[in-house]
Amino acid sequence: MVLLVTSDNEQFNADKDVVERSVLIKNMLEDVGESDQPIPLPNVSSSVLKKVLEYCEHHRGEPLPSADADQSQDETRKRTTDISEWDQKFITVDQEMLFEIILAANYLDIKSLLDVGCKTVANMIKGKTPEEIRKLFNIVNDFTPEEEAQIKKENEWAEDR
Amino acid sequence: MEDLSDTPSVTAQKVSTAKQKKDTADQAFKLGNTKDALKAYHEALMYLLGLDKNALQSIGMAAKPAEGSSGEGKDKERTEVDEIVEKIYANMSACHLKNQNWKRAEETANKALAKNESNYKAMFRKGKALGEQGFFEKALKVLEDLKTKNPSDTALVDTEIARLRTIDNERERVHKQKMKGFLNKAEKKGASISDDVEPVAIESGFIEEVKE
Repeated sequence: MVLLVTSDNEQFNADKDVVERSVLIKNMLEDVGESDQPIPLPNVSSSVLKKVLEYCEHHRGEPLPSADADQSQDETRKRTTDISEWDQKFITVDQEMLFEIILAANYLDIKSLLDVGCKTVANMIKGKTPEEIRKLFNIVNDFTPEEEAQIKKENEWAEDR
Repeated sequence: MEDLSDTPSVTAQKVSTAKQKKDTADQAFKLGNTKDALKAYHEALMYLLGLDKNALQSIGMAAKPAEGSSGEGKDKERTEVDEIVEKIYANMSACHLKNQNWKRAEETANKALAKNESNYKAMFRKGKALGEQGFFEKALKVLEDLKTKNPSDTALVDTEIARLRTIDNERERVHKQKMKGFLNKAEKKGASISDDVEPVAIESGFIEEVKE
């Protein structure tokens, strides 16, 4: 068992093969061995870590992508926006939690979870107009009308009609 | 959901905790205690990685231009945290070299180089780690590159290249010795020769320095 402590000082106990989905933690355990001392995770909160561990639990034992993964393999992994049924259900959370999960997956170096999160955001963007996307992510439009017209003109070819 | 983003003081606190852990690690390394050093380096990373860049700016850790980097087009924001992380990884690489854990030494050197491709110590350690793993050609490339970038290290790098070349030649010799006559009927002599070959001494000076 490995003990983890979150930013809000909550302790989590989890199996080694569960927490080792996180390459950050895996490397540490490999380098220094297991100990009774908790591993500090000051940049993730308990509510988010709970979700992340749920994901790791479900995917325990699956092969991890190797550090020097084949480039082409990496490409196909990135290109598809398919998400498995369980992952889909798992990632159905409010937008703030979604972003927190993405940040945590990046921090803890859990590539497959990072993919699921980013693909979900990609799917949210897909097919939306710029104005809709701004609304979705609370982005202020800082283009002048002239700039906006120019950009629209330049990208006309890409529009789906 | 409550706002989980850190206040500036929390971020500053984390950076300072990480610096303390790095100091502890540097000390441990100097005393030859690589395990404690690695532990403290890892903990420092737990504090530094995943910090919010915006929060860093609000405590006055604005982006700085990377020192020693040649490309002008690089406007990638570099914070003090990036610098500390780079040093931590480069030092972790030194720890792994000392433990003869070549694979991790290479990985951590790469992480340091990802932060700053002109980190000379990380380049040296990467070359050494590659050579020790039997990738002499790759090691040579990295080390030659290091000489171009930092000519003042030439003597040291040449010594390392020569050392790795000896190891490589020795490997090849042993290999050939083993294979020699493998098409003939079992010739027991071949085996006994290769058994006598001592592994080449591995201990050698790498750039001994932790703090900069």
